[in-house]
Amino acid sequence: MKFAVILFPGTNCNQDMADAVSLYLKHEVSMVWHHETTLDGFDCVLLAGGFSYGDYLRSGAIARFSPIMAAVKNFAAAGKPVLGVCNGFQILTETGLLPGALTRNQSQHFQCETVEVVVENNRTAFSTAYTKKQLLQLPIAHADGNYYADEATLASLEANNQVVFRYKTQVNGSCNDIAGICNAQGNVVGLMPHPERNLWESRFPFASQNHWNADGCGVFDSVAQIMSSQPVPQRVFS
Amino acid sequence: MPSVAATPIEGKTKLLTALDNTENQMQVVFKDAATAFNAKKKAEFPGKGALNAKISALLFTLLEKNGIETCFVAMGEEANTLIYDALTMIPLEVVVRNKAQGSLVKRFGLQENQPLTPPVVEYFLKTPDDPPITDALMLQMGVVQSERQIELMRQKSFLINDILLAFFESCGIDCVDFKLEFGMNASGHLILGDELSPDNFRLRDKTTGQVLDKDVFRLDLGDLLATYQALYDRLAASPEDLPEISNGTASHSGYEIVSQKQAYTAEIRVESRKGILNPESKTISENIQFMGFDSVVSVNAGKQFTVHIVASSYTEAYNEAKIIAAEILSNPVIEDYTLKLTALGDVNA
Repeated sequence: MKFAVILFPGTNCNQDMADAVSLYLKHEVSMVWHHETTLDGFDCVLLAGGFSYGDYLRSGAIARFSPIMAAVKNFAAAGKPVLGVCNGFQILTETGLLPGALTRNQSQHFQCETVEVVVENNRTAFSTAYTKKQLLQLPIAHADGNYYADEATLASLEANNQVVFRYKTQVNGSCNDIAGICNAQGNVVGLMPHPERNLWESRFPFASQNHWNADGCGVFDSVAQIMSSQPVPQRVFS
Repeated sequence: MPSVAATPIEGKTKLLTALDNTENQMQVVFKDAATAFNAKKKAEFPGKGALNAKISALLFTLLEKNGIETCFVAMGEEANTLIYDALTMIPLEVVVRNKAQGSLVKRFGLQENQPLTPPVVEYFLKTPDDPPITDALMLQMGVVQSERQIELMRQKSFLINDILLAFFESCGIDCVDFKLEFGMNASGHLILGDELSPDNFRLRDKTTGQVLDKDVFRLDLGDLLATYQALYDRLAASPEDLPEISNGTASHSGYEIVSQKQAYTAEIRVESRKGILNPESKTISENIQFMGFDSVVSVNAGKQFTVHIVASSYTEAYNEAKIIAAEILSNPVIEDYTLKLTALGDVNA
C-alpha cells in the first residue's frame, strides 16, 4: 500500500503527514512534487497543511492550477481515498472536489490551539476507526478556517451526512460548526484540524495544557483498514 | 394577420403599434419620410421605408447570429414592416465612431476621416435638440439605472462595432460611424432596439469613397432611393448565409474581424459577497467610524487586478477577461466580480 503526499511550494506539514504514514502506519510514502502529472501506483493521496503559493489570491486558489491536480481529480473520481488537512482542505474546496469555501476566521486572528471535535460520520474513508459522536482533541493552526457554504449546500451536506467532523463549540465562525466534510461518495475528506499532530506525545502541541491522547490516529487507521480489507465502497453512509 | 391593438406611436421615421398577442411584441412600420438637421429638412421617398426595413432586418439577423440580443423578431407581412419585441427604451442615442466626420470635425476640429483608435462612443439625450450627455448626467437624470448599465451599453456597442465593421469590410464598405439605441426587456436585459438602416450610419465605398447613406439626402449628393437600393443589394449579395463571427475569425467567409492585434486593459474588481465576513473591510470600517466619520455606513475592501491583454477584437479580449475573472480571480462561493475592459488601440501603433 503506497501513499502520496502532494508537495506544493509553501506546503510545510508534509513531513508530519509522511511520518504518520511511514512511522505510524508503517506503510510506504512518497512526496509528489506538484509538477508531476500522474499518481499511478498510489493507493491514497494526502494533501498536507501549509501555505501553498503563499496563500496568494485566496488560500489554496493557485494550487488548484498545478499540473498534479488533474491527476488528483481523476484519482478522486475513481473512488480512491483523498485526504486534505488544513491548507489541503482549502485546496480541495477551491478545486471543487469538496463544496463550500474556507474564509477568514471570525476572530480575525490566526488561531493556534487544541480544540474539541465530534465525529459525526464514521463511515468515510478516513473515519471508520472512530465511533459515531466520539469526542476528539485535535490541534488547529489556521487563519482561514471559517467554513462557508450557502444554505442549500449546508442543508444538503447535513441531509447526506457529509459533515464528518464538527467542533464541539464555536471555534472560528464556521457554518454549523463544521470542521471537516466529505464528498457524496465519502472517499474525499477535508478537515481543518491536524490529526497528524496528535499521534505521538513528543509531537503534540500544547502538551502542558492538553492531555495527549493519540486522537489523530483514527484518521490514518481508518484508511489503512479500508485499503487492506476491501476497496472503498462507493457509498458509505450510516 | 396579427391583430393590432392600442394607439400607434409615431416617430420621425417609424410607426410603432403594440400587437394584440401574448408575446409582448409590436409592429414597426418604416415610413418613407426622410428628415435631416433635426427635421428642418424633410422629404418623402416612396419605397425608402421598405428598404430600411429590409436592411435593418439583415443587420439585426447578422448581430443575432453573433450573439447580440436585439429587438428583431421577424419581417412583417408588408415590405415596410418588421415585428419587434417590445422594450422599455433608454432615451439615449449611442453613437459609435470609427473615423472623425460630421459633428466631431465641427465641434472638436479633428481632421476629416482621422481614424479613431479605439473607437469613440458618445451619448446624446433623445430630446428635440439631442444634446451630448455625460455619464454623471445620465445617472443624475435617471436616464440609466446604474453605472453598470452604462458600462454594459458601452461594451455592447463595442461588440456590435466589431461585428458590423467586419461585415461591411467584407462588402467593400467603410463604416465611419453609426447610431444605436438600447432598451430593456421584461427581464431587465439590455437589448439592442431601434433600427439599423442607412439613416443611422455613415457608410463610404472603400475604393471610390462614394456616400452610401443618408448623407446623400443631407448634402444633396444624389438619388437617395437608388443609393439605398444599391446598398441593400450589396449587403444582400454578401454570403447568403450571413457570416458568423466569433473569436476574431469568421466561420463562413473566412475574413478576420480585425487583422491587427489590439491592446486592452481589463480592470477586474473582486469583492466578498454580501453577508460574508471580510475582516479587512470590518477593521477599516470600524476605524473610519472611530475617527468620527459618522456618515460612513460600511466599507468593502476588495481586490483590484489590472490585466493587460493583446487580442484580435474587443469580443475576444472581453471573453478571455471574463473567464479569468470568473474562474481564477474570484471564488463564486464567496465573491463577486466586476469587469471593465478598455481598448488601448493598435499594438504596433
